[in-house]
Amino acid sequence: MQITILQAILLGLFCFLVSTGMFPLGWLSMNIMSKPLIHCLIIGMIMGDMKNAMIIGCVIQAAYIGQMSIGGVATLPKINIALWFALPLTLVSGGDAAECLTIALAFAAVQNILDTVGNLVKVGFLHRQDALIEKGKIKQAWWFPAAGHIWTMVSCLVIVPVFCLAGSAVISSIVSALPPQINAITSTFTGLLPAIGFMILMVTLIHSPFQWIYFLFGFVLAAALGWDTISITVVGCVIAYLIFQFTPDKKMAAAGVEEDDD
Amino acid sequence: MTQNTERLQALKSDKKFVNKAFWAYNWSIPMNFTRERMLGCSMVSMLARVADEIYPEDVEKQKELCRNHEVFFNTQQGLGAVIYGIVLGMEVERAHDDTITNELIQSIKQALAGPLAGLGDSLIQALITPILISIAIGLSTEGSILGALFLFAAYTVINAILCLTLFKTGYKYGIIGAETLVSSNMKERVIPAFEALGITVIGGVLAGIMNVKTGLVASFGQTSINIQTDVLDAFFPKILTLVICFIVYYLVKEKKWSATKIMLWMIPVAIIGYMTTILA
Repeated sequence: MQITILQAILLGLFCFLVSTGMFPLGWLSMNIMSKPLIHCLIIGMIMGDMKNAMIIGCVIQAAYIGQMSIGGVATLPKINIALWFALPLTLVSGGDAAECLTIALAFAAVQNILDTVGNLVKVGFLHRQDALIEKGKIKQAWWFPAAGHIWTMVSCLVIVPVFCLAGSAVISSIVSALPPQINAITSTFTGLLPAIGFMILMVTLIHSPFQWIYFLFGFVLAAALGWDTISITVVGCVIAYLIFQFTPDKKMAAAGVEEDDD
Repeated sequence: MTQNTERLQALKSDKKFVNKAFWAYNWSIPMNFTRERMLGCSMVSMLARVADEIYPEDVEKQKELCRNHEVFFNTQQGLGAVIYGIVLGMEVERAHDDTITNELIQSIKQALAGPLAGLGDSLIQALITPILISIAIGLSTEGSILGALFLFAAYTVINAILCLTLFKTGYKYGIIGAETLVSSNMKERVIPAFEALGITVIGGVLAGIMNVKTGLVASFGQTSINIQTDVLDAFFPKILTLVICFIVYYLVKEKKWSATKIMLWMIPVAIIGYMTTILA
């Protein structure tokens, strides 16, 4: 039994829809749609083998129960796109969850690179949104960033059907052909990016050079002392309250001056 | 001006307006999440969607509204609904009263983002979701479709109730808080306090997210000194991150470089930096 071309295309299509996070209910369903069990639900429907899809899906989901996204970074290797060719190939070969996971995890390094390129593409569309706003095209600016998913579309619609039809041997040869530095360079680049977003924010907030001392304080608490964000916020509240307490109330001071004049 | 104030007062209890903004928040979150601004884009999108109701006919004000939020912002998207609501409420108030400054809104936004991220991740990602998943696995382990369907339905309903309630509560209290501030005589004391809080939290979040390291190792015959661990970390932790940030700040503020230009320059810097081990 082979994966039919129609099935391969449907798999690519639904992989894309699910990977954008916008299907079917936007944020309301975004997190849950990214869970392996739900991927397997749809894959089972397309492949016409719900029973095995669910059995394998439960095993994989149990392994991935600890998967979280902290600050946009996943805690376990991402298999979201890989599942869409790994599971169908496993279903037609009659394999088990272990075989499915092996194929999916082998793809993880490539997934990393795809994600970084995708991030770059999305940043391009993000800046284009800024440009649209400058031009006054506010209505268009609202939905425009969604077009950044074009990379998701290209990668899902190409990779999933091709790998489904090509088979697992092709997948391993492609993965082993990648030079190892690419991953490291993309990590370095991605590590520099947040500086842009943060500093644009600081340009808005800082109107006196002395305010940098608060920034350095928060920075030191996290970098040198290793504090978590909530603790830093608590200390920040203390500082804020002290400032509030010790800033003279101008109206009362003015009233005091008036009384003195009498 | 009175007509504008009346219109904005009506907006404060306009359910259609809040619903429109809520759905804008909902659809904007998955649109464009990048390392550069994370959820910052979705905040801009939500405000762009309702900008012409806050500032009808005034394109310059609409532009300013959106431009103000083109900054880094990250939180847990579900509990974070309260922040979107608060920002919306405060922007509506700011539309007719200058006391509410953009700096105040940004500070409150950033100060709330951190704790809600921690709370949201612990509550939703680490607690509620695994519980639902365990139930679902129990139902589907023999091949039944029930578990997966249950997982989707239960999560979506819980999430929907949570987010809608938080968004509307945030909007209501954003307005109440802003009105209280405007009518009180504490503004000059409250605003610098909030700004200090916001800036402190930003410093902390940035240090948590970024970690620029060097791979340089100085070798003298037998001994080698790892510049990062032996020299820089001993001097001041994450000092390279600070240096990069100050460089970027200078480029944005003094040289007026656009975000795109800085990003494009970062590509060769990352490549050459890595190949020469200056950056690791």
